Amino acid sequence: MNLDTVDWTALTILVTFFLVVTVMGFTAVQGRRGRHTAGPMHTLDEWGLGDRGFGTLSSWFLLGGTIYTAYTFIAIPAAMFSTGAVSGFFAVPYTILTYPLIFIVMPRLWSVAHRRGYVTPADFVRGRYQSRSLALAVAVTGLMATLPYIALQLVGIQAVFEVIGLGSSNAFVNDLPLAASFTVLAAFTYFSGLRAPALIAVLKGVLLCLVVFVAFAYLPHKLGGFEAIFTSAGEKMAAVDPQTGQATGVFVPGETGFWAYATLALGSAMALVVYPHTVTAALATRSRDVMRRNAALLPVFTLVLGLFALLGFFAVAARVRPTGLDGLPNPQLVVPELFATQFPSWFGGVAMATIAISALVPAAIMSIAAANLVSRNIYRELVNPDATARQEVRVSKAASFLVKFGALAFVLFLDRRFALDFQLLGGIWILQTFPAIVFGLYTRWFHPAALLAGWAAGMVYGTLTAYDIVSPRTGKHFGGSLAEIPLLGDGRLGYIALTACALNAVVSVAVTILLRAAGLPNGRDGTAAGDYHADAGDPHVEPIRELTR
Amino acid sequence: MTDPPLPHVRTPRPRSPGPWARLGATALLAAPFPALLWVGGYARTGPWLLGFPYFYWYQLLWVFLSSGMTWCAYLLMTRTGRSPDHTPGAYGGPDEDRRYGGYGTSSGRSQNPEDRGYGGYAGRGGRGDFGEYGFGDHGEHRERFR
Repeated sequence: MNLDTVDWTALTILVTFFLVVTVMGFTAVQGRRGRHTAGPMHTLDEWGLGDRGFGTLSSWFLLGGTIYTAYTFIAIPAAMFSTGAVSGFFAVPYTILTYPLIFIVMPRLWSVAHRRGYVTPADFVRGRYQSRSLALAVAVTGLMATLPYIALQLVGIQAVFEVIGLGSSNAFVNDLPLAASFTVLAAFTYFSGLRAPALIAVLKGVLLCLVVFVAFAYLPHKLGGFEAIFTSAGEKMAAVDPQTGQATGVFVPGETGFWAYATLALGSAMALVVYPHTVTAALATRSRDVMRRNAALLPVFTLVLGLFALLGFFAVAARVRPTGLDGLPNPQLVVPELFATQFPSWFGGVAMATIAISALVPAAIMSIAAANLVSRNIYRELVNPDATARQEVRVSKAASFLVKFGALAFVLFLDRRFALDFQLLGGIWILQTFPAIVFGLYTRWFHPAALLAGWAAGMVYGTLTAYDIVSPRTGKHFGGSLAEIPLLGDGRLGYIALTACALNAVVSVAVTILLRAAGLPNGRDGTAAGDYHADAGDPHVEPIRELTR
Repeated sequence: MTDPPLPHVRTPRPRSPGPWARLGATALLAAPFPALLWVGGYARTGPWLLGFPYFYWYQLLWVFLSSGMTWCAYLLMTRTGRSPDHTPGAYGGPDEDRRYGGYGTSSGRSQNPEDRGYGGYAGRGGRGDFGEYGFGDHGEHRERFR
């Protein structure tokens, strides 16, 4: 490590924030929990869902901290910086449209989960359809989609360390800060469960608002006003890229980009509803109304994200040249680089700490969600059907540890590019659980075998189509998430995940009709209609006590 | 693990917001979709506002509009159609609904005698939901939208 290139002021601030977060993480367990029980956490509800007691404000921070990941705050501005609106700014309509969906869908999931003691989306599928194979498919899909997502949070932290100057040609020294911060994360998740990220999420929310406010109060002045910023971004996007012979990017989508933009927004919005970490955070709320109020209040973070996205254009105007330690241009570094070059060191440090903390909250919640999938839907379903609550929580805690170190190994030992490809696929895969989960919340008409067939069709189609996308820049497979929409003609591009989900739904309907025509029984239903409207205070809507003993 | 047979469950229908409130809430929640998914409607640079091209300020404006609309939908769904506060027995019998408290739980929650005796299911207001009409005879899995 070259000690002269390290920004010591920024590093000191970053380390200070990390220490604060560590203390918060370990003390979180002593907060609300003292009211209920003494002693260590014994039930999955306590550990994995924070005893399901989050009110409107704490859920606002928790859900906001979960949905808006560090990777979003790194990758969206990076996409804006390098290729413009279609691959970047779609995040704004995406995170607007997801809330009406959450408003409609989540209260029903909340109710049935609280009635029946479901902790994961796969639990619900298992109960609703009484189908082990469908539930397993949903659980495994959730795991495969969540793991690379956790890995990408690490990529976010890595970007911060790289810009601060903590890099080295020695691989061990290079990865040490990342490994250290993740060990801390793994430790406090292990001890405090969901309470730790919930408390840290408050710090994250406050810091994000502060950083984006300061950036927008200060930078436009410095860079000659918004009009100058947008104009220079427009010029960059219109310029011809010598490598591909086409325009560098998209400033405002043209006719050909309309479908791509709309399907990316809608597909991502639908996927967010069924991501296991969103469900975990949503089930931890105190009542149905908390969910609904939050659907109206969470767009505050969408505004923050939209403004962060525009920082990509700020960087264009500020002529930031994000260059990695290997000397190659790396757009992922654009936001940390912007703060490092345009602000005094101490504020740069605050901004970097914000991004690093932003990574910890979703990483913790995603690992808890993934761990619950392992303990509830794989361990109990396949290994030990008679698992007691204590065994379950032990498996969950161990799994959350493993999941995080798996993600760490992913980032340290495999190509970073691989994590990106995997995350791209994860988005496609997770949307294939949408019919089973969301349709299932409204109707039991579908045959479980039909939903499984639809899921398989969507997975295969989505994966193969994504494989066929070869990047014009690098010549590698999995080069993007857009492919031609079949049957639409004109070679219009659309988000692969949404096309695959449409195929999934069509197959599910067709096979259900066939199976019904063949007279095959639809199977049983472990839920009752009243389950879908139960609210806090209704009978049997409370933290699951049978797991305590 | 084998699941016990499903009993016949008569499910009450909770009181819900009136049809107008429901229609209004649906419209409010649906509005952002055409507004943002019809990209051709806003994919242009002018008119500029405070230095922002139309494409960008239009979408940022919808953050506020959609948030406000969702809040109004929340008020419509919860502040209207309040049901009487307590309707004992509206939920059917004591055990009808909890035999499957989570699948495979080692000890069913119905073993706790204190849990018996339900307050009315339609006990609280503010539980409006979508798609709760027509949830009739559960035993035959007949469920319709609306």
